[in-house]
Amino acid sequence: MKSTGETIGLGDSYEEAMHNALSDSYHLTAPIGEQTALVDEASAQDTSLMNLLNQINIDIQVIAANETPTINPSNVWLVINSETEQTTTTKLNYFALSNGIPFFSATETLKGILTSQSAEAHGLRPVCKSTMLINRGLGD
Amino acid sequence: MPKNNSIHKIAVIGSGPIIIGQAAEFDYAGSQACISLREEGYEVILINSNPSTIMTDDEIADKVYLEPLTLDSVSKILAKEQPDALLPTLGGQTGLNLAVELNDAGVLDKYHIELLGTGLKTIEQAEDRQQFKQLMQDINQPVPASLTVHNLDDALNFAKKIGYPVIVRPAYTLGGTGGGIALNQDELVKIGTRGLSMSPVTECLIEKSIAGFKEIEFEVMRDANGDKISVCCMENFDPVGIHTGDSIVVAPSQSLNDHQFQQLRYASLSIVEALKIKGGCNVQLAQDPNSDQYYIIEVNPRVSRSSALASKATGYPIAKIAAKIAVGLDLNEITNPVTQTTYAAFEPALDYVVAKIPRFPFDKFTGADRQLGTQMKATGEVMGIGLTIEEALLKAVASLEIEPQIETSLLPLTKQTDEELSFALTHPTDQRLFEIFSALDRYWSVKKIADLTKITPIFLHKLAHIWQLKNSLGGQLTSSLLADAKQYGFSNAMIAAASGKSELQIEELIVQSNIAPVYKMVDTCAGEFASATPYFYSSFFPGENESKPLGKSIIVLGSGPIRIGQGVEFDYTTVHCVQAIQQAGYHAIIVNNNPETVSTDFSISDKLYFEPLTTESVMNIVNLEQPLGVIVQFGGQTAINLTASLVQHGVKILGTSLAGIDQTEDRHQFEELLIGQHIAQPKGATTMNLEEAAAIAPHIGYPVMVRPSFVLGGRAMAVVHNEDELANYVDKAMKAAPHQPILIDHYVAGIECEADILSDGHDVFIPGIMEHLEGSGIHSGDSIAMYPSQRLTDQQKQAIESIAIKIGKQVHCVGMMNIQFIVADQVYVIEVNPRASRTVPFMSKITGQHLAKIATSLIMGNSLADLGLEAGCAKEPAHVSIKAPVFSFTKNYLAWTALYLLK
Repeated sequence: MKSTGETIGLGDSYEEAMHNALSDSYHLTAPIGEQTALVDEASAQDTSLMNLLNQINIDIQVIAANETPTINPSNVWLVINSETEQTTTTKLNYFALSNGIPFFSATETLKGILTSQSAEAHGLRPVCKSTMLINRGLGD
Repeated sequence: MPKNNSIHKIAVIGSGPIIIGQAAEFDYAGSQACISLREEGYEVILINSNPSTIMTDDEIADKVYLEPLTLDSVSKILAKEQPDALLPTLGGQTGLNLAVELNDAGVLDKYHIELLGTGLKTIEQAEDRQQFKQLMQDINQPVPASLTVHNLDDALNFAKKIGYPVIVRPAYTLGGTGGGIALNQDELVKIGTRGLSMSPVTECLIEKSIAGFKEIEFEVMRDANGDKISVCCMENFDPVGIHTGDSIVVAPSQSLNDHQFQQLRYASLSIVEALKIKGGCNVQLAQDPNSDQYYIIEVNPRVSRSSALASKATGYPIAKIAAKIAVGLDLNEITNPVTQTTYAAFEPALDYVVAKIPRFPFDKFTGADRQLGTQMKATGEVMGIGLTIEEALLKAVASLEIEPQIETSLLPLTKQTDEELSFALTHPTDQRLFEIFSALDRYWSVKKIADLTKITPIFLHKLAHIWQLKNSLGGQLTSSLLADAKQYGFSNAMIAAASGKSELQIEELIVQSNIAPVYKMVDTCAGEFASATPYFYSSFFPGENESKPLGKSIIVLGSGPIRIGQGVEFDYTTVHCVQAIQQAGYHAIIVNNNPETVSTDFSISDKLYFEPLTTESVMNIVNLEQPLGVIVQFGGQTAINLTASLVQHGVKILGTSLAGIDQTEDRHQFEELLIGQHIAQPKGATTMNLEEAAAIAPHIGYPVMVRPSFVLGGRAMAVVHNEDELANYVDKAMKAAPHQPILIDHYVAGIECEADILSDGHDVFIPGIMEHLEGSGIHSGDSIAMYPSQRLTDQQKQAIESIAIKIGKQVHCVGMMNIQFIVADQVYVIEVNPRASRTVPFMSKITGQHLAKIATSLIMGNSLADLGLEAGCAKEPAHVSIKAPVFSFTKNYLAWTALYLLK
């Protein structure tokens, strides 16, 4: 295990819950302008991942994990690296982490997320003392 | 000033998910503050996205928003709630940053929301390097000279002006990499060039080096009236240069003379006055060990990790008082909750010593750079309280839960040459305390060690005293020698290691010698006023026992330091267990050693023993309190691991029996349990070498998952599909953990899910089945979890329910358990944890049921029916809840990052 904490996302739909959960965890939001997904060579072999990325019309740049990207960091939407032996200093990872770019090290995480991206507006739901979260819509 | 009656509704921003540098201390501070504001009659709206905390419990605030801590999300909540005021200083840096963003975006003005406590101007003055420098100059407080440079020439010119050594801090590099201390021009050319090239914005800060100075912290309170007190002065054992979060810290300060102490105290109070702080503030200072010169390092105008430590060290509840100051009350109007007779304006005094030792994640982040520096790496901390520094330090060591051999021998695991040891002492890692002992073992002088480490000699003399005592334990163990060792904090296990006897023999000798601890109260006033704080620590020095047994009590074991795999969620379950015990009419006693958490707030339980979570410490408390029993289910693996030895000592464990726990924890018994119930489990075996592995693997069936049994973190874990791959990976696994068994399991690809179950020993209730987004092979704690499940069929859910019920019944679970499954061609069980799990707070909050409290009621003898719960799986809700992991990769240079290693 490698995580230090966790965050929660709630929603009336799976998409909305996922959107909220990701805000404070992977910090992944909808791509701005013409952002690029940087994909390492191992992840690029995963056709289902590539299909999902293609479906959302995002620019994809395949890059070796041990290469430092030359792209402007603000133009990068996310970095995915699924090499088996990788550390925070692997060049692609270092680029993502030192520039605050959403970083994924398991293709399945990204694939799961990509199937749930949604641009819909999100409502707000307090946890009411009397009802707790299960009835969080009450009082809205 | 009386409290502010023009406001009624206050929004509080929490600190979000736990990351390195922002951990459970903000759960403690936030919970305290919310309770404190509600005490004053305000309506409290809490916003936080961390499901694992007490702070986001429905009982802490009037309304809790479990929503993202982003400008967009918080703005919407403020628009909807229209609070009169916002309190931003309790949610760490996250809370502060968000308050600044809300202000800049005009949100606070738009809804006429008043900012409580320390103002934004102050926050900016404290956080902006240039403004802070200017303010310090205005009030004649010294700061190390510094300059931001973008080229080497400017760096060299500046260094020439201020003199060497200088620190080079490259901007925006991971973990401060590329920086360093330059002792002369040649070194600055080298380090400066490297730093500038590594910084993505080609920027470095060149600063006069004060590395090696003593690092001192003051926790200070100031009210709107300008009254100020110093709550606590803490001295870092490690010199300036190591992040205070990674430093061993003691309180009160030990090596300052009166003049220096007063000088630093005066400086701290002057700074909070100049900043017009309203609440708590942390001031970090550097004291030259060779003169009276000092420098201000930094100021945190909010509650912090250090304020949590200071609160636990003194008993003075900083966050609670800070919240009251924020709503207008003055220090001389707020009653000190400890004494109930004095006011909060009364400065605490200590008649004991506390020592904090950080807990590092390197057992899980194998491969990460362990050298300590200005970037914090620790995930948690422990605190020891004693009458001497030696005792406080050794109690903290016994609380760390690191490699047992290190904890008892006090020496590093690997033998170092003298050269290696010298290098290690000048390049400190998490092992430095044990490396100093290693140097003492080689008869290196305190002076030599001080020269190498820059650690203040008084601390090294204390370590030398410990070592001298340890050496004396190698001879004839007399009663007086034993008494001496116990008084200076040696655990029985440490004495056993030093004397070559068994722990049991030491236990017997101690009983024969009539050596027993007394318990002293933490009362904030060093006995000057009468107080009744239910907060105790042990001591073997002669004295009066101040802890009178409560009667009709139950002891709850906490979970110790926050570490990877055992986080704040176990503090949540511990606190809920305590509350359920109290609701049932019994006294609840907590044993724990983590100064950051809610569970070690003495107002949570009927009595808090701040002690190591070891059989010895727990038995001493059991012998005094004579409780009805001990509950081990809520303190994570820490508490579960003590079960067997407590039972051997005759303790009654409340909840699932030791036999039931063993059925799930012992690999062999677990296999038998599943076979007996016709429950599928991926086939597996243990092997010590490649030959055996190659012979076994085909029987288990490729693909197989190979992992060394003792290397956690997945570095050497892999899924292999044939003998060649197996040979390759077994070789790697052997190298990662030589002479350790290797586990080989059939790899079942499928959907991973988990469920917490609650049982009264007869029937089983399942609050819900969580599905992991990622497939099998990724640790459940690193997966995104969803409830209700999105892909499971009704039939699969029924199969899971039926298996969970069978296991619960078969082990006679009383209380709660956690079961993990893989759903593939059929449902497989991969793991059962005989205790509350990481998912309990999440599930509690999204199902509206306080699961840990319910489990405690079951442990106390209620049936599911008594609690109105029907056996079987609860109905799934329509809305969706998702739990996502947060990683702190940026804080641990060289740490392995892959979540799993499927080939």
